[in-house]
Amino acid sequence: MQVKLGMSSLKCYRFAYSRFTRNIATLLFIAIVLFVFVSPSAAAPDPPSIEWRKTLVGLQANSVIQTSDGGYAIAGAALSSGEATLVKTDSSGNVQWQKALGDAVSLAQTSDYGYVLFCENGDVVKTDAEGNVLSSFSLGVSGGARQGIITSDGTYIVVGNSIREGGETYAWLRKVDAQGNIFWDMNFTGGFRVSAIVNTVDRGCALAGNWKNNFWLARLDSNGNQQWSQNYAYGDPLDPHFVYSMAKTKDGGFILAGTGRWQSSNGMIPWLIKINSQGYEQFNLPYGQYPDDSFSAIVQTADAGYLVAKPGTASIMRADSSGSELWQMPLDTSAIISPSGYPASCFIPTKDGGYMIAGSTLANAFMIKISPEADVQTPVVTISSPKSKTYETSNIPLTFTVNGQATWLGYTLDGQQAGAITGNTTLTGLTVGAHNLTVSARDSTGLVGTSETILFTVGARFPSEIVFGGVAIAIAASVSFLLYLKRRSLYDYKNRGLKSFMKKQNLVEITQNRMVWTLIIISLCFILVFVQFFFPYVYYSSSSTRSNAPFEVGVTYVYERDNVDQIYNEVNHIKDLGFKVIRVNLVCDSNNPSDYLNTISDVFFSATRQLGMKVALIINNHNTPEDINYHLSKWGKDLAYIQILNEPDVASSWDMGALFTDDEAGSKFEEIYAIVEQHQLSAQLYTNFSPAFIVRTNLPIQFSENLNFVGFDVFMDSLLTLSPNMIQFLQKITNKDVVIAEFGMSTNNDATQSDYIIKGLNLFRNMGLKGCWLVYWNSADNDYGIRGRSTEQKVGEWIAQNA
Amino acid sequence: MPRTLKLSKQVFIHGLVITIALVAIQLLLDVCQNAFLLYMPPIGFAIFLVTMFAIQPIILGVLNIIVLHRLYNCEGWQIGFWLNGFFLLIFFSTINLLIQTSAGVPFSLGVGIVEVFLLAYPFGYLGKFSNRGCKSRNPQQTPTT
Repeated sequence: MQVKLGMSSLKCYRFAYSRFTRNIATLLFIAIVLFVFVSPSAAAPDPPSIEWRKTLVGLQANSVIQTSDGGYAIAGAALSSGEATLVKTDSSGNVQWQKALGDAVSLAQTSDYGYVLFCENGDVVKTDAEGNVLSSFSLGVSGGARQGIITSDGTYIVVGNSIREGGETYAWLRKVDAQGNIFWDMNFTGGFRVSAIVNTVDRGCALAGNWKNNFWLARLDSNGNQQWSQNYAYGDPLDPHFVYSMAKTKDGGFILAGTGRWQSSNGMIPWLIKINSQGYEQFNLPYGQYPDDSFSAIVQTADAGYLVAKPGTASIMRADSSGSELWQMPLDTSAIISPSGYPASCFIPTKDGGYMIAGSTLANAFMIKISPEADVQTPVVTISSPKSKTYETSNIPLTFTVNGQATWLGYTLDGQQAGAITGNTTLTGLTVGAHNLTVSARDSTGLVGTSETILFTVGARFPSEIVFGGVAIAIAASVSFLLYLKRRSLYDYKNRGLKSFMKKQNLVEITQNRMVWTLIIISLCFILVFVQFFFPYVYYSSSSTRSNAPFEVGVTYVYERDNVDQIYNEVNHIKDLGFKVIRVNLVCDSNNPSDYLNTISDVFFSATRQLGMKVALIINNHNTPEDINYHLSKWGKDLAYIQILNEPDVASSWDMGALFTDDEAGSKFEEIYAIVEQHQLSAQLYTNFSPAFIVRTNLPIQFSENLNFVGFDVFMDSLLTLSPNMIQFLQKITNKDVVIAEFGMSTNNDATQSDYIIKGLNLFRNMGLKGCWLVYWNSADNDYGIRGRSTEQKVGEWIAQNA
Repeated sequence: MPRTLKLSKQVFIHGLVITIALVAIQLLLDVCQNAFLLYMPPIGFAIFLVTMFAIQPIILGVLNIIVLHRLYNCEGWQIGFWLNGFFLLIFFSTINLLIQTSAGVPFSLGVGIVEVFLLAYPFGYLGKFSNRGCKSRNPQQTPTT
């Protein structure tokens, strides 16, 4: 019975098992089919659609930008004389206006909403927002310009190629201001050709092109110093390779698009090369499946993939972050962004997440607006630590969040891929200096999201362990030595045991030793000296000691470096950020009332009058009495503060006005003071002093008798730490309020500058000073400027919260 | 032969002498500071520093040891004049700096007068402590009324 039952059960089980197995097998088959055939197409984002296309007759499009109003501006060459070379459209591509200017290879929009055209012949044309020419100048090159960009400090960098006598091609680069004054220029000789240039986060630039038959990429800092230059050789040395376009990538690196000959291919094939921020290749991909074609333009997509223009098939191709093709989309046009033109800036991402392509056929140009990719939902990575500031430790926590499930996480530090991580971690062993960091996350569909690049700095840390450890060892060694000298008495303690030795009266007995006690008193003196040096800084830096006194934040604006049409916007922008005072140089020409300097001063004071900004005028050591009189007569009533002499305590050089002796400084001060007094202005008078006043203390004491307050300049981290002591001393000897008249640091590291300025603003506000004026709003020849840098926004945020 | 006093009185008198000396010298230096600073800069400033950190400590150190000898019947000294005076000066100027920084009150005659009374006891102990171990002429003697 049991057996029968068992057999019966077995049959039932067999039956059930076979049905169950079949069902499972069926389900598995369906799942595999779905996975194989459906899953990839679900993972890959769908191609976007063409939203609209427009034709522009008679133009060869060389460059397109999206303008501040959401429209587009296209610049290029006229296909016949008299045709427009600069066209402005609205966001739907309808032409708003067009101008016949020079044949342009590249175009950029300026901060005053005007445009700059970089022409093939080396001319640079500046227009207003309506395309009317304001100024133009020549770079003095014999043609061959390829592309121009505007840097964050408002200067222009133009690159191009020329041919030397003897037929050798060389690449050139010029950095100029808006008036055409050359800051620096460089030539890359020996077979270099440049095709594209991009700005870098440190206000430098990167150039891409070719060196002989190899791809080439070079990185320059803001002063034109070459940081590195690399060429990338593939295949046979005789196989040519050309870069046509370059884009910055989210990880701080670069992607180059172009073409090259590969041994196995019959002709030129498209090529992508990914380079990290240090110039090392991360991947290079020849696309041998597309013979006789190239990638003429490239943009990076939101998910760190790439979109490239393929002129051979008049299509665009989408690749993921590793360069693997995802889809292609034909553009249904007869030609697209020819590499024989100027393709570097013809393909751009738009503000709505889509893309704009401008290209040309034989008779006209076209614009094609591509919609955003609907299916792309890349992981959003937000880094909460480190922040853009200076750290005094080499171990910094890396904390970030990802809005979803990530199957892979990794980070890139200083352009080097640091490998996979599982979550929040700690960055260890960071070297002193500037660093950049991005975190990437990949979701289950393979899409990669990359965070914003965080720029932070690791500062040199005070070696407190070494100092305190050294002092402790020195004390221990000294005491041991003394104890050794008293070994006879110690012998007694030894007999009586250590417990007896540690008794208070016995320890007191040891301190009766003259050397031991001297050591103790010297140590206490050191501690007290340290307290005197650092307590004021530590105390005032603490947010709990905030003063409620009014605190004016100002900035020095060198308006003579800007164009007339820029000044009002800049003053307005300075006001918008919350600055209350603008400090300016005395700029005028008393001999020629119609001189340009007088015109821009008129514009500046008109702007400050309209916008209600206070102005502090610097009467420099070298200003002539005629100019001072002229300026004060004309704009004296607009002044809230007048600075008499600039740092007279250190002006012992010819370029600073040469006040070598105290008599010279005193008589110059008296002369300027007398002129200012004649004008009977309501402005408050001050003179600013550097920390060198310590050795020329007579100057602040003497001058302050005629001043309303004294200024003090702080421009180094160490000075910031000691500034409370110096300010208290300056207040004591002059019996006047102190205002920080110049505050800033010469650095091209935005995080360091921001950190320094915010620290100082907190310190000076908490000290109850009347104000702190930063140097400079704009500064083209050093790294003091904050315009266009992240510091500008951070100071604005600080003012909104604190001043 | 010095009168023997209660320890608390000895400490108070000791502190009073030291603080009065510190306040008086500080006020004197404050008054003539700018005169120093205006004299052939930076020579005047250097002389001011020498006066402040070399001469003043010696005066204070000598004064402290004299008071110790007179009040506590000591002989000799444990640390040198200058170091003893410098220690007292730096302690006093640190207190002034703390007051100025945290209360915003710079040193002045009024502050000095208040300090003389408030700091008399602490500086009495400090003066004694800073040159501790000066040997008593009669170790058996204990302070009595």
